[in-house]
This record gives sequence, C-alpha cells and structure tokens, in this order.
Amino acid sequence: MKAYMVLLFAITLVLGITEILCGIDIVKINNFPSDIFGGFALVVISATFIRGTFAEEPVAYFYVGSLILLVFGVLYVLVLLANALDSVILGEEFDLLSNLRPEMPISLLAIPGVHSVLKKKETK
Amino acid sequence: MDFATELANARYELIGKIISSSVKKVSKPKSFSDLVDTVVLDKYLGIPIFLTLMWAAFQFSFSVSAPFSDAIDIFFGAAAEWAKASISNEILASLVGDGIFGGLGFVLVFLPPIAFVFVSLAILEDSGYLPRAAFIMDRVMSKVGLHGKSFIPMLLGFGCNVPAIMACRTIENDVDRKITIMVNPLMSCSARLPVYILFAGVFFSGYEGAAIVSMYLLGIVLAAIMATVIRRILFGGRISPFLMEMPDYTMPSLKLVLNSAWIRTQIFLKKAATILFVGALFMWFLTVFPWDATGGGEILDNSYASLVGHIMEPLIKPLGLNWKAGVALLSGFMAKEIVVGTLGILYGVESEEAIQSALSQDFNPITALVMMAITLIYLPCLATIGVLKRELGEWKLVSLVILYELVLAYAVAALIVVSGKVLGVV
Amino acid sequence: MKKAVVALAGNPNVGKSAIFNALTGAKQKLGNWPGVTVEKKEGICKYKDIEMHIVDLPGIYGLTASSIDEKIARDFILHNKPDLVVDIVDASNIERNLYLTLQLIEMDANIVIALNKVDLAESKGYKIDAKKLSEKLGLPVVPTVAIRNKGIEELKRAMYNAIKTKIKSSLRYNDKLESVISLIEQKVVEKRVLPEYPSRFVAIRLLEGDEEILRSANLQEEVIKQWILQRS
Repeated sequence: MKAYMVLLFAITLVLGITEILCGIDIVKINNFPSDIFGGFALVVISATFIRGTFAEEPVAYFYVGSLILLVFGVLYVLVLLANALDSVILGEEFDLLSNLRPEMPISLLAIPGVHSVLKKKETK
Repeated sequence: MDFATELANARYELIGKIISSSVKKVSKPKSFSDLVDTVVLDKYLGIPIFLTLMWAAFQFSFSVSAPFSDAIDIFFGAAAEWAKASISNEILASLVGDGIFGGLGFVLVFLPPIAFVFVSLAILEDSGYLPRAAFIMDRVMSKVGLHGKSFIPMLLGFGCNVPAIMACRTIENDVDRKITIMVNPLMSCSARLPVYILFAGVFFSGYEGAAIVSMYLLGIVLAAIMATVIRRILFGGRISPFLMEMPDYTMPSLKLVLNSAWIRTQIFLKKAATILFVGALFMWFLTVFPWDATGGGEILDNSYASLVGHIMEPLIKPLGLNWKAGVALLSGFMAKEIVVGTLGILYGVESEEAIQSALSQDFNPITALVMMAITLIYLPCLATIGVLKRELGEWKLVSLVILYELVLAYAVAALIVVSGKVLGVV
Repeated sequence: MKKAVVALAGNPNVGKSAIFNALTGAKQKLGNWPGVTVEKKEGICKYKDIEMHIVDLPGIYGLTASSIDEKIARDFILHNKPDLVVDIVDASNIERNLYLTLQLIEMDANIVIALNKVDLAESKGYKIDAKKLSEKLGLPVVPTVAIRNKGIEELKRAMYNAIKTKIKSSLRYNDKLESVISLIEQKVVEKRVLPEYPSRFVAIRLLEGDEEILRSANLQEEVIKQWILQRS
C-alpha cells in the first residue's frame, strides 16, 4: 500500500505543479489545463499521500487522498458534460480536447484506495 | 486590544500546553470516523484539504449549473422577443417582453447556481464533514470576529452573494449568523467581474490580474474590519464559544440531499423572487419612460434613469465620475453585471473595443480604480437585498447594511482619489 | 475539632453529586441559596482532627457571573472564603473542564483537583498522567471513580493536607499578557480597588470587562484602558 501511495504522490505532484505552472503562464502545453487552483488541489492530494507514508495510520491518508482524487475526477467529468450541454444550448462549437483533464483518468487510480477501505468498513 | 478575547485565548493556549504533556491518546481500535478525522483534522493538511474541497464545491456549483442558467436566459430572451413581436400595443409589448419575461428570466437565472450550492452544502452536511470544516476554520475566523461556520458562506460569496447568504442558515448562533450575513456582500461576487475586467483591461493593461485580485483582497479586508466593528457596536463584542457535535461520517443519502436542497431552493424562489421581480419591473420602467422621449427605450438619455443620473452627478463629481457612470452604477442596483451593459448603451457602442476607447475619454487609472472599488462596495444588488431581508428579518438591519456600504464605498473612493492627487498621478 | 469550609466546584455532569455523597455519607442537608430557587447541598465529612463542612456549588462552566449559577458559585468563593475548593474535573472531557480550573486559580483559591471518571477516560483511549498534570497545574490531583468509591480516601487525605498547608498555584499565562495583568494589579493595589478580593483576580476581571466587578469597583472600561495606555 505504501508503495502505491508513493506512486500516487509522485503522479499527482507532477501533474499539480504542471497545472500551476501553466496557470501562471510559465509553461505552455497545448490542451493541458492551466489552472492554478486545480493544480493546488492536486498538490494537496499528493501531500496527503506522502504524509500518510510517514504517519501512524497510513490507511487513513490513503483513503482520504484517494477519495478526494476521485471526487475531482468525477467533478471534471461533470464540468465537461455541463460545458458540452452549454455549447449545445448556446449553439457554439464544443472543443472536447480542451475539456479533457488528466485528473479524469488518474482518478481511476484512486478507486482501489476507496474501495478497499470501504470494504473493510463493511466487515467491521 | 480586546483583552476578553486575549484572556480566553490565553487560557485555552495554556490548557493545550498542559494537556499535551499530561494526556496521551493511546491507540485503541479507532472507529472509521476517527481514522478519517486524523487526516481531515491533521495539523498541516487540515486547512489545505478544506480549501481543496471548497474549491470543488465552488466549481461544482457554478460551472455545472452554467448551462442551466444559460438555457433559462435564452428561453426568456426568446420569450421576450416573441412577446415584443406578437403584441401590437408597444408599451404593453415592452412591458410583457422586457418587463415580465425579461424580469422573470433575470430572477430565474439565479436558480441553478443557488440550487447547486444547496446541493453541495447538503452533501457536506450530510456526510458529516461540515462540523470538521467549521472546527478547522474557527481559530482563524474568531480572530476577525467571525465564527468557524462563517467561512464557507464567505467563500461562496465569491461566486454569488445570494446563495452565500442563504448558506448562512447553517450557522446556529444568531449573532454569528447575522454578522456573517451582514458582511457577506463585501465578498466580491462574480457579477462584479465584468466591471473589473473592463476597467482593468483599459487602464491597467499588463497588470489586469493584479488590479482584479486587489479588489478581491480589498473585499476580504473590509469584511474582516466590518465584522469586528459590527460585532462590537451591535452585539456587545460577545464571542460565542465554539461547541460542536462531531457526528460520525456517513455516506450522504441522495434523497436527503435533494430534499434539503429543494426545501432551501423553494424558500429562495418564493420570497427573494418576489422582490427581484418587482425590482426588475421598476428598472424597466425607469429606462423606458417617458415613452415617447426615449423612443420605447432606445434613447437612454431621455429616460427617467438618465434624469436620476444627472441628479446624482454632483454627488459623484468629486470622485471624478460623470452622470453616465452614475446611471451605470444605478443600474448595477438591479444586478452588477448590468453595469457594463449600461455603460455600453450610454456610450452608444456595442463591442468591447469600442467601449474601451470611449472610456479612456472619460476616465483615468484613478477613476477606473474608483469605479471598481465602488462596484465592489457600494450596494448589495437587488437580489442580495431580497435575501438580506429574508434572512435578517428586519428592514432595520438591511438598511444598516446598505447604509454602511454606501458610506464605506464613498470613503474608499474618496481615499483613492486623494491618494491619487497626493501621489501626483492625477 | 477544627472546622473547615470546603466548596465543591466543577462543570455540570462531572460526578459532583457522587463525590459529595461519597464524602458526606448520610450527613447531608438540603436548602436553597439565599434569595434564589437554586438548590444548595451541605454536608459534613470528618477526617482526623478536622470537621469539613462541604458545600456543593452549582455546576458551572466558568466564573464570569453571567448566569445565576455562576454568580452563586463566584460569590460564595469570594465572600465566604472557603478554606478549600475541590475542583472536580471530568477526566473524559478534560479540556473543557480545565477552563474552570484556570479561573479558580485566578481567584487565588486553595484548590485540590478530583480527577473523576478516569475509568471512562481510559475506555475512550486517554491515558492521563495525574502526576504530570499536578506538576503542570501546581496543584494536587487525585484520580477518582466516585460512583465506585475509588480514590475517595486519597481525596480526603489530599483535602486534609491542603487545608493544613494552603497551596497556591503559580500558574501563569504568556508573558505579554502577564505584563498587562501585573500593570493592572499594581494599580488595583495602589488605589485599593476592592481590597477584600484577591488583587490578581480583580485585575484579570477588570481586564476582561467583567460588568459586576467594574460596578462594584465603581470603574468604567475606559478607565482601565487608560491605565494600560498610560504605562505602555
């Protein structure tokens, strides 16, 4: 579990910092979100994971970190759907690519974390 | 210096020290909620996690509701057009089209974000997270005379003050609730952004971001100051103790969440909507009459609104603003977004670029800042006044809010003008 | 036999009644506090050569005299000047309970802490080091489980010792605050403000804007503020 946490930590940290850098215009990547706040969120998630590896109850951090990551994944999907709907309503073109975010696929990695802890909770 | 607070804090501080050295939490089988709390209330992660979740709630409430707001906007826009085309009597057509459909649409455009905010709030409440959030923020908030539970509504105010003020219902303590409501309008809502963007774009190009962020910061600072002042003057400086039940975490039930959101949304619809609707009709009247002179609302210059603007002018001249700015700000009374549109109508231009060049004639960087600051502070918009009445109960308190905002806006504007003169900019 | 008056103080629901019963047995007397409808319990506890008159104060969270209960408790300690105050602290809720303790210390009272419900605290996963606590507070701390009569003998012994040799806790707040407190305390002593009360208590109350104390001393908040501004 801890190894997986370190992996998630690394991924979310890199993504988060990149999003922030794009947000303040230091880096420019096509079709990559420039979002200071979204990047900040990812950094917080990464901090949760890495803090968990040094804590007394790593499983708690694993769960909460994964949960928040999953929440964001779902959130961005909802925003994408809303923007798509908005484009239809306003009769504008919908740029799918610019609406995709790395958090979407990455949040799938959070599922094991959430699932395993919820499973344990059931059996208690 | 408020020694009563200092003493209370000093006592708690000392208690904390005593306890940390003599009381130890031994590992006993931790419940699920305790486990989650170790992370959520973690000394370093607590606040960042809280901010992150707030951001998610913010995004959800305003981004995901946008298509619904647009749909409503378009629907009523179309209905207005249809009314104006189908009704032969011109005045009636304008009344039904711009007045009624326009007015209705304007009110209902607020519905989706409000509903989504209530859904977010219900999820946070039902899951059991809200008391933790309040606990985390209480330390910070109590220093500026606010309660931990005030933080979330204050943050929501950055999106729109209307659902933010309604969100204050989660604050049980009456005094804390009232204070939070009364300073909430100072949190710069998204409707004010167009004004900031317009003026920052023309007069602070290259530093627009800084100019705009400074408005947000100004709002926060003023809110903190006014919270302390209001608490002292109106409510005797009492700070209620922070006592909160921390229930177990549970999976929010969809039924409960939707139900709670619906109940709160309904209240908004009923009360605030009546005031909003009446207000919209009123503004319609002002910009459209006298009918013949304005050619059915085409020539703003001859309307009653313009009359009012010219009456106002002596008041705002010292601030370097002309009657058009006055009318634009007046229209902002209905909804802050309208300010930009009104400026466009008054300067007789349609496009963004044209407005920009027109503005450089009548304004300068200092008066631009004045416009932005006034937009931030001067008045709650009609919708906000509606909820203020609904949530505060007495017109006395609502009038107080309007009054302090007007005075504060004028004072800050004057300060900016004077600083400008002193610094030799103007 | 020497007589001593002992007041029992503590938050509501900390087990005060249980401790009161354990100390006084059948020798109890019920009445009312003068002028109010709040119940007053008194009893006698004999230990060695001292006859302790135990007075059960109403359960309170603080001593700011903002409620009738607090007023009764505070007035009793200030005017009747009991020889000892037994502060009953709920071990399973220690943070909240210590707030009252600190205020009792501010009153310069002679205090013994009965750390009650230690069994409940343990079941909640708390391990309290009574010795350390006593050290930090500067007061004797006796762990008890009143409903099971545990620690009562030790409590009586501690009460006896405290009555014989009065203890004053030298607990202080942060330096910045303490300098302001001593400043006010000096003025209080100089001007002989309410000399029948402990000067530190008066100073802290004036600082807090305690309405009753301000009234009794015939002072206004502005005057206090002036004192602070003058010296700083």
